[in-house]
Amino acid sequence: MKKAIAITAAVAITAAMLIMHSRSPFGKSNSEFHATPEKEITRIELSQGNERLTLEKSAGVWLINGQTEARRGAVNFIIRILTEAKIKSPVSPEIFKAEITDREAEPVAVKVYEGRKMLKSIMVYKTASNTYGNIMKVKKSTKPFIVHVPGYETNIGPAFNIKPQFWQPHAIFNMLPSEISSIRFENMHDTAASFSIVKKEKTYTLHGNAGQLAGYDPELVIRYVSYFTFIPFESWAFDMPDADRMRLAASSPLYKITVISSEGTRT
Amino acid sequence: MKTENNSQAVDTDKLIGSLGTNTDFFNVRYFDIDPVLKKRPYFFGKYK
Repeated sequence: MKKAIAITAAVAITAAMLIMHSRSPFGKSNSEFHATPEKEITRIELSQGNERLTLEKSAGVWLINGQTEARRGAVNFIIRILTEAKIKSPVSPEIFKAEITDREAEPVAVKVYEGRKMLKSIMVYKTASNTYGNIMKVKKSTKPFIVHVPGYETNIGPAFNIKPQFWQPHAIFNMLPSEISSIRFENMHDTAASFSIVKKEKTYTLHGNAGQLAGYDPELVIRYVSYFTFIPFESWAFDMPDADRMRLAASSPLYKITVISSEGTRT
Repeated sequence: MKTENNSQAVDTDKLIGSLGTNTDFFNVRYFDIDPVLKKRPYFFGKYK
């Protein structure tokens, strides 16, 4: 009889330990920030206030709002966050009030789908108050946490970007010579160095400020036009302080380059 | 750009740009934009 009681007690203790181990101290439904797709995530919806952006995989290609193709690297990064995110630490009500509520920081609501099934819904508050750049909640009424991607100990807040251009390829110019009708290069600090290139009947001509120039090398003009096939930029400066942004917007640029397409579109 | 001791320094390898009158600025490396930053004499074979 004593042996039977001892075995029952041991089984009960083991079961209790297993249950305790599998439970999150914060409640699993309120503290799990990653999605677990059966195969793969196929749609991500981001919304903030009245703005909304959808990334959806269609025929193997990720589209921004169902239209233009998204940068693969940016999509891969947000998918990594959405499938691997773990809690780094809880956030106290005092810190949440100071960093989010008092600053009226509006969250980015994120919904993750596989086909028509919603896998996960989270709220991302971007903040500079921690190195991970975020405080997240599962719902408005649940506890806030700092979330990170194990093995990627850096700021993940900027990945939840609502602006379509963030997801587009990083290209300043992306036009074939056949698509270009004119180029205007303005050197704002040395106006005598400015020039224009105009296409007339499949031939490019070089112009200065006072009209068409003579004696230039047409091969160099053709080569210059070909450079506009792809001029990339490195990254968006979304983290630029507002004061710097205002100062730059009010100042004169070093160069101003305008490319007009055959259809009249200006870049 | 920020340095290791958190002070600000000028990154001479990069420029700031914007498209049109947009104030969404981007960082561009000189290496990438350099091919289209030419002066007029370039087309006369002076800086080939």
